Amino acid sequence: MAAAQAAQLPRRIIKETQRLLSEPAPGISASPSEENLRYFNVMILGPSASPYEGGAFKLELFLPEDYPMAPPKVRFLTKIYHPNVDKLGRICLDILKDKWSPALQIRTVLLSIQALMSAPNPDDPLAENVAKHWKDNEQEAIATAKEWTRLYATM
Amino acid sequence: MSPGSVRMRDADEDSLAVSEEEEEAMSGSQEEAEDEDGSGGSYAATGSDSDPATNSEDATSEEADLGVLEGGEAGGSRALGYRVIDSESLKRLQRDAINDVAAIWGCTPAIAKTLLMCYMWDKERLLNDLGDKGQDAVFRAAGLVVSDGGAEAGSSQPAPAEAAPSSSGTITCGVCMCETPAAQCSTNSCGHAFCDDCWQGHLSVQIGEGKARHVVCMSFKCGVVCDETLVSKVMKGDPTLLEKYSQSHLQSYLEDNARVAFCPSVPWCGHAIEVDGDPYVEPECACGLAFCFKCAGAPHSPCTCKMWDMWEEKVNGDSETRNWLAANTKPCPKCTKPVEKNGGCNLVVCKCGQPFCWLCGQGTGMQHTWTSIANHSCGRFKDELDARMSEAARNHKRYMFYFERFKNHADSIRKEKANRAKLLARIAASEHDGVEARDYGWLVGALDQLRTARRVLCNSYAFAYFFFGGAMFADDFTEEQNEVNRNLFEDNQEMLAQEVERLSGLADRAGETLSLDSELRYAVINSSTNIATRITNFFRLIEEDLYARVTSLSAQIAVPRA
Ligand SMILES: [Zn+2]
Ligand SMILES: [Zn+2]
Ligand SMILES: [Zn+2]
Ligand SMILES: [Zn+2]
Ligand SMILES: [Zn+2]
Ligand SMILES: [Zn+2]
Repeated sequence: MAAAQAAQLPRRIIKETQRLLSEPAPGISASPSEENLRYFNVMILGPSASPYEGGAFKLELFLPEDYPMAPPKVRFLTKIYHPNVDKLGRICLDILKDKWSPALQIRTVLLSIQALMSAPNPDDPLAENVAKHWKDNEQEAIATAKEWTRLYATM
Repeated sequence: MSPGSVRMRDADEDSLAVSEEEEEAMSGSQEEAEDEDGSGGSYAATGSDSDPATNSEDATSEEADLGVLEGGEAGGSRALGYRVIDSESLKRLQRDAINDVAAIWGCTPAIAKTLLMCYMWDKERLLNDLGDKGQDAVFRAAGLVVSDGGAEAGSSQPAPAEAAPSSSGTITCGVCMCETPAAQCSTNSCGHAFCDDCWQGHLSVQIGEGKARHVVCMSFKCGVVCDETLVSKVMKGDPTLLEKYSQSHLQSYLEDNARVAFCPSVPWCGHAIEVDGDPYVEPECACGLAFCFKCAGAPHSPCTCKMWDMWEEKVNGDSETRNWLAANTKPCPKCTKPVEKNGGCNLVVCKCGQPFCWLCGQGTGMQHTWTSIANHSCGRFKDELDARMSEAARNHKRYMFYFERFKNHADSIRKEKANRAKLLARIAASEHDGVEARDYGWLVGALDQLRTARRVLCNSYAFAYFFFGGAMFADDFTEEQNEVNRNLFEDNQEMLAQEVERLSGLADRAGETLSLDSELRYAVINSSTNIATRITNFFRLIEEDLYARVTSLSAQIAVPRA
């Protein structure tokens, strides 16, 4: 079944998938689902020296029909306390919106998300209250993020 | 708000309003005006001084059309300060703007277009920025390639993988990752090359999402706009989308342009208005609707947009006003039977033969004709300092005073509009009797003047309500100043009102007989000229003596161009 699907898949997606599987980026794994080769199960390890260190975060990534002309849709499945991620796990990242370029790839997107975990940007928030917390009392916000990591992102 | 433009497009009167010579002369001056540098000067439709040689062949029909919309009275010279845009003229206006910039800055039309779209078609701001900030900064912001070789394409450094053809004459497209023969690849002005299929996919998605006005290169962080050569090359297989692309560029002239506003008619008539510079105008669309360019409301000068907003709210929200509106008859002072107002003028005559003034309801005797109503001064507000009256009651009385007069003139506008339509139809019909329509140009012109004046008069009561007394300008004038101002204002208002009623009567008479009697014709033309002068004086007073002394707000209004 997957093979039949793969036959209809654009060459680019096949190539990207192959590369993601054969030479994964450090701390990132992504594999297509059995039923839908455009749907990827993603795992990003919390970057070291970040409040998410030690956690393993699950995400889903979906390649829409227009991909790569349109950006992939990515969402955190694991709860995460981060000013640029909202309650539903949606991510505020420019390359997932207006700064998307068809020359970008799944790999670059996931690396960008990993970088965003290392460097939260409370000035461009998606979660207002988290961002406020981050700005008002960064120490405390980081502590909460660590607590959440321990509660939700460790197996 | 100019009478000149107004008459020519009311539905079925096109054919009769302008003689052919006028039309030609106007289109000539139109073109001439367009050649100006657009430094904010108004486009004079003088109907004279035009050089026939400027009428190029291909433009004639479009321009003749515009010429009609813009033109003024035969012999009368007026600058409207705006023009009506229809789908025909849109292409030409846009092309002219593009060519202007291309000529001034020495770039290609395609680059000029991208720049103009980025600057919302504000040519002056664009040229200023090009001069002040420099070409590089402006080009970068607009998504154009910055190069030392001038405005033309191509010297940025594309990423090698995306551009360099491999030895076998193929390119590995950075988007689909396919090896593609170089012939099936295209390079944008930034130097980035991708396969045509990918370019097409990219453009389809962007145009489909409504971003046709600013589609940038597929390369990450490149930001250079896809040039039109590239677009037309890779999209040639999809004419529908290509059409959508160019249509969107055309539309941007209307939608993004601060000098353009859509006609607020419902259902939309398909026209837009472009002002020459001053946005404080009350244009008349080709569909016949006049509106304030600034707020899209009904024409309201001498009220400011804010005053008008408040006035409408007051009028629509007030139950007393609604009751007043319901009662559109007044009792005859002699027999007390209800009498309906049936003419534009404020003199009504009961079936019993008794004439009386509609405004104050007083019987006036037979000497109260349309000429002697001129000496009637019931338009003045008398503020009775009745100690028993509360502040609120006094305020309400004041409002009702102004509202009644406002409403009366509003009714007259409607009646005169109907009369005018009838008259124009009769003039058209009379053409068959061998009398040329243009023989009535003086009458049509007078009706336009009457309409403008009536509108000013009508709105002047709303203005007076806010300006003299009330909270709006309480800090700007003392009571005594206010009194002086109001007297000056009412003098002018009355002068105008007298002449308006006179012309209304004259026009009625001229319309009834359709006579070419020279005495009546003279009287009409005279009255019309008087009105123009009085409007000018009225507005000079309002602008220079009233608004000019107000510090609490910057009052800007449209001034009728007479
Ligand atoms: Zn490609
Ligand atoms: Zn590029
Ligand atoms: Zn219209
Ligand atoms: Zn307005
Ligand atoms: Zn009567
Ligand atoms: Zn009266």
